[in-house]
Amino acid sequence: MNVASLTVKNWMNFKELNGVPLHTRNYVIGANAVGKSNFLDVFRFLRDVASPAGAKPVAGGLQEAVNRRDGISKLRCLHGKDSEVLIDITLTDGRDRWRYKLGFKGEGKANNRVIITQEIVIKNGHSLLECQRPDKDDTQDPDRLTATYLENPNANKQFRVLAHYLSAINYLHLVPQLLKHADEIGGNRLNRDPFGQGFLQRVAETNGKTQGARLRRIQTALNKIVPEFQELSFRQDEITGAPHLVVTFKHWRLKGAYQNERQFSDGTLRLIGLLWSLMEGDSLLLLEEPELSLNESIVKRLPKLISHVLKSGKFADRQVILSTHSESLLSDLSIGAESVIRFVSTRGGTMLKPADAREEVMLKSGFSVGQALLPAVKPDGAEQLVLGL
Amino acid sequence: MPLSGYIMLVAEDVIGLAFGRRLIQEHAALNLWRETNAHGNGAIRRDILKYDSMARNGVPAFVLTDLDARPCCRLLIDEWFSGQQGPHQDLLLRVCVREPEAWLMADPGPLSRLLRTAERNFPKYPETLPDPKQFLYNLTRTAPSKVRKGLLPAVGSTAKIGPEYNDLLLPLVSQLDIGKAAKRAPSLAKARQRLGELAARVAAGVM
Repeated sequence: MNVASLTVKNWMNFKELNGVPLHTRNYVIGANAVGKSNFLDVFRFLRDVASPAGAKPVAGGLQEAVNRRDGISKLRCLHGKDSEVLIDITLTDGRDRWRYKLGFKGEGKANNRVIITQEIVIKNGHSLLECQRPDKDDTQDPDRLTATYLENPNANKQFRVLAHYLSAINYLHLVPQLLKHADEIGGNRLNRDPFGQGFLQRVAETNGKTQGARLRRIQTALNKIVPEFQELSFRQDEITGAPHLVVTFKHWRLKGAYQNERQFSDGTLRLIGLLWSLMEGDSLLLLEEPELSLNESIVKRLPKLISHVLKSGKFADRQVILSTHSESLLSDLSIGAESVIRFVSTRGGTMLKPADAREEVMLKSGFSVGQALLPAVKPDGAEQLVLGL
Repeated sequence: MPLSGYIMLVAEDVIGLAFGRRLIQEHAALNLWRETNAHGNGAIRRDILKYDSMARNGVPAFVLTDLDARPCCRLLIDEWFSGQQGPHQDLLLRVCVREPEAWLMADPGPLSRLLRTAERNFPKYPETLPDPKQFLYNLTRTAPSKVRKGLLPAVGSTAKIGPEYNDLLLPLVSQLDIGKAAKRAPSLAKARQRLGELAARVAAGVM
């Protein structure tokens, strides 16, 4: 299943985004603080809502998803006067076309719960009668409006496939230091581990055969970039049980030298995390600035690397949405303007800015999307940044 | 797309871009649409046929490159368009002889005030200088130490310019008298003339 389009109203930076089309690969660009991460967060929010309460590894549901974002007042758009937040997503699996629409607002009482203003599921153009809310039962018992049908296995039988898909959405923004110093930092881990702190635990929990196969593929890829990189394996500390990645580096000694993840470079760790995530699961994958810490020549090849790994893992059509600032990443001529989601800040909130007529001419003349579309999101004052200090 | 006054500006460095902006601003019919710092001429040469294609499709481009050590402008253009039709009239490929620093020296007023040196120390025709940047560096001897340290690369460094080179020289581009400079720098005068012709075509709606 893939997301075909998304509409949001009153969501963080976005007063209104109407029908943003999504493709198999999507590149989100925009200046700092324009709302790229908040756009990705719509999908993470739906994932949090769709994960049933008490589910492992995350306790989900609407109330929890809103609380995790510091409440409805932080989630609503500052530019909007409307109190309702609306998410309207269309998904397709080739056979069926689904639409899930969720509206909610603060209850306005002391405990300030969030209540649902609308929740509608449409399958192939027909509303599912089981999910057209508020329904008769909701009117009789308003407390019911604090939980979505999506999160409730007793209510989502007719669209369980949707709940499964949304709850499996994966997000990665691996912060190497959190992983390297996980022991010192302690066991506090954010919900769903977005920053890769528990990445090694995920590797540890993968069954031996799959784990070995994935590590071998990562090793082959890394060996092309770091020729000294010989063998990547997984080991559990015999005394503490702590999981470790171990690599053999070619060395003047015959057997080479062993290093674990603490000695890996930030770039190597981020690349390992990226490659692993690509091989893990087949639902929507959200990647935050995958170019960080990587050499430009590798960044240029990231789009091909992503396609190659997904294709060879039998998930060629797995949907990926990544945010980036990198012209090098977008210099790949196989990326079309239709897969670029460009945001610009306006007085009325962040808006989508498709390619204009002149940019179309640039693209037709052979320039990459990085050259044609990225300059328009460059902050005007960047050249004066130093002078301003 | 019909020819419009929205023009793309490309130059090898920020000073070249500042000159480009200054020249475009002289014409009400022209609006700067986008600017690209190509960081040297490699990227300009690589993309020149793409800029040409844009010009043929209604998006004019003002591309400013440096002559550097080449013997003449014509050879540079022939080399870049070898085997191809020459540049379209709306691709203004202009060659700065030899670097934008020569254009800066063409009206020595602002630069002489920055370096605290007399205007007579500047050449009357700076485009004849084989290495304008080096000439400018030699003039920094009398400059206040803050300016000198900002302009010159550290001793023993392979850097081409000092840490505040662009920040110190950029404001001078808007201070100089462009008409006066054009009289002493023929390649600047030519670039100005070509932009004027483009502006006239845009104003007249000529395609």
